[in-house]
Amino acid sequence: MKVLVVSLLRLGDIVLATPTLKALREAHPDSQIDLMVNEQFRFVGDILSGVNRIVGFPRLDLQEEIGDPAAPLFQPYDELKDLVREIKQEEYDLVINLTHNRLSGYLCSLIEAPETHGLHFSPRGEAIFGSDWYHHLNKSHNDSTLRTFHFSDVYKLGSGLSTEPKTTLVRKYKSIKRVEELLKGWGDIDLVAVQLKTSDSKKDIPTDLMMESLKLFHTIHPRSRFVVLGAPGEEKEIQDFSDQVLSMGVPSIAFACNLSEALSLLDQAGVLLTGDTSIKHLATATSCRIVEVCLGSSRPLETGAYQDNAIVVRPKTSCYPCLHSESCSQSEFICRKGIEPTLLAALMSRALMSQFSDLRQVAAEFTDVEISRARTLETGFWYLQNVSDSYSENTVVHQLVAKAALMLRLSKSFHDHIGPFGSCGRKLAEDLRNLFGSFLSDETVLQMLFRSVKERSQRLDHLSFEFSRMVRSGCQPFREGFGEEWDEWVEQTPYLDDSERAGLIAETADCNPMPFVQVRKIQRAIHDSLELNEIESKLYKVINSIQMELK
Amino acid sequence: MIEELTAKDGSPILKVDGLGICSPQYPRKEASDWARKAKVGRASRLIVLGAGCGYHLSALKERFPERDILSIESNSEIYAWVNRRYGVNAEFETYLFRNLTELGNRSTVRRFLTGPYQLLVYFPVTRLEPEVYGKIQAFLTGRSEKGFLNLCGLREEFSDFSKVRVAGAAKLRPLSVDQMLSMGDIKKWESNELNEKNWEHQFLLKAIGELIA
Repeated sequence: MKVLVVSLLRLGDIVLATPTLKALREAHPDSQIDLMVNEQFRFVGDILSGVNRIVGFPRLDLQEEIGDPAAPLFQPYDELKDLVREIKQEEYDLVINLTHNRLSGYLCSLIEAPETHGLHFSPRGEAIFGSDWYHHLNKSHNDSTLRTFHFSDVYKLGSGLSTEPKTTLVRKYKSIKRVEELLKGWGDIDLVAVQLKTSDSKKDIPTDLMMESLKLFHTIHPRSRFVVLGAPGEEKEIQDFSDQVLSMGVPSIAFACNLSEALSLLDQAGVLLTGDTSIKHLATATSCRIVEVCLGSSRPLETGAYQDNAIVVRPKTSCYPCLHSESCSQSEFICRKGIEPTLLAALMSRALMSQFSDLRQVAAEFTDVEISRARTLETGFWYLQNVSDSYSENTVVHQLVAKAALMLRLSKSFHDHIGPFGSCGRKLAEDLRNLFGSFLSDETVLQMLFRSVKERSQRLDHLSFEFSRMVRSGCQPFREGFGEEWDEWVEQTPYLDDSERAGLIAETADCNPMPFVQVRKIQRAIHDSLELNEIESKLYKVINSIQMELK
Repeated sequence: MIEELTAKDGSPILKVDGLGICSPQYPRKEASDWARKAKVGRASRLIVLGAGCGYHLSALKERFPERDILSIESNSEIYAWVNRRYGVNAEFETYLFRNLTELGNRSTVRRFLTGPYQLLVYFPVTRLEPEVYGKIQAFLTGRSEKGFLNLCGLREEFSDFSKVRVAGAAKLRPLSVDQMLSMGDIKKWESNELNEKNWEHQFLLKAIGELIA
């Protein structure tokens, strides 16, 4: 089989896709797997061993031709057409679009592979996703925790690949001489890597905060040595920073490096302090612990460090996360407030010493931020566990069961009556035990949550009945007919996202009679919610029975 | 009127009406430098405005042996000199420009303009007749009305468009990529019958549009 994986965003997004590439290679060991990336990122092939060929997309060249008034008018068109023709000649059996934008959608459509996962278009221009997972990805989820999955999980599950969570980056490199030279003579130290810059200044950790954090960390861990990482071209910046750190009496060295060198160095580091960067994604393939500071437009629920026990710090400001495409809406970066040097030093120390159970104490002291611990669950998805005390067992169980139910539904596994629920329920129970250190301390939590799911189902059944009756009568606006129950119904459909809910409210408020398309939308929304409720209640039953068994 | 001289490195060179059209000292080195800096992208066909003394064409072919090269020269004496010097086995073709209509009808030129091509300008020659070469350049790049229609006619997916526009009275100013992109929205492509055949062309145009966004 020949597979083309398309990743036409930035370097970090490509590296984020590598667990999927690994899973793909494991599922199809004898297949040809090619990866299409923007030409300027072709070097990413240096760290991938499961990919047969890198196909470069000449984005920068095409954009230059488009903008050049002296260039032949049809040049970008002709070149794109030629490129598509070359790709089609490969006769790929499967194309997987991990880019999820219109450009990639059009390209994947033009390739006309027998099977395409991810966004592509019909000849009439209708969006097709090839999987409920990618359709789900297409929706925006303001609620976040319940419905947002890490992109790495979406990519894998969207292509029906193994949900084995503990997969690692596909890589190849030999011992790198430059790294060996760098670390020569340092002896037995606590090596800490520091990624100075992100791709967006809004996401940058302020340099003075970073410096103070390193200084404090060094007093806690006097054997620590810091390597300040940067890309080729950033030599001056990282050298300036490193020199300032040195002037504070903290041993530091600047290291501008390529991906292979960064990977080699991270393999020897104990901790990485970083913002939302491609280096963070690289580090997940190593044993290096990660402390990720999420600022600006960082969205860790979707693109956080995909590694067990990565520590994630997020601000609690209302403007976070902001949009990547827009500049900061505030007069200053207020999301940076509340993140103090003592906090970062404490988190780096916990990460280095693998003292994750202590994170709760740190969270109790620094209440202006959210501190989370990344967990790769047996259930099959990555989860960001908020470690503050305000997150009760009730909340965590509810989140995990809701996500597991959604996962089963999107993967269409819920039609199997016994297997998925039994195995998924068992895995969930195991995950809960791991998260809490033991079984749930309060036995009534499960029962209470199970009851609330049943009550929700009953209300939805009732609303479904009422809705059908209203539609059949068809003589008054839906909302008026429902009266007070309208808000309740909207509340009971948690698996609509905010925009869908708002859209339905707007559509049905004054509809008389309701168009068939809108009837179907509401019916589908109710049906989806009922289905999810049903899956959730089954999962609760399984978890409860396992808990009872083991008592 | 051309005058043949010898450069410092022994290479024969030309002057046209007293103006040199390549380096009087090291024309081959100058040509190599020009070829080295030439931005050719991925295009398999290269059109060079100005045949000059031919050194730049040779150098270009040496740098890109797998690509086809066509030069367009407006001066008949230069054209004749280059053909005599390089002969029929030259690694590049040279065409003597007479007028745009003939240029557009020439089979070699049409072949070059169908598919990805790059247009390069050899400045020392083109400065002799800037207006003429300006028109040729606009024609070959599709940045003039005539050139735009010519290019449309050479592409099956846009050939109907060229006939439509020629038949109509509307003036075109196809100076930008936006003009080309707007072709993706013309009504005839929205009909059910044509969608099945033309969706690929529309998608290519839409993909180009996304690159601008």
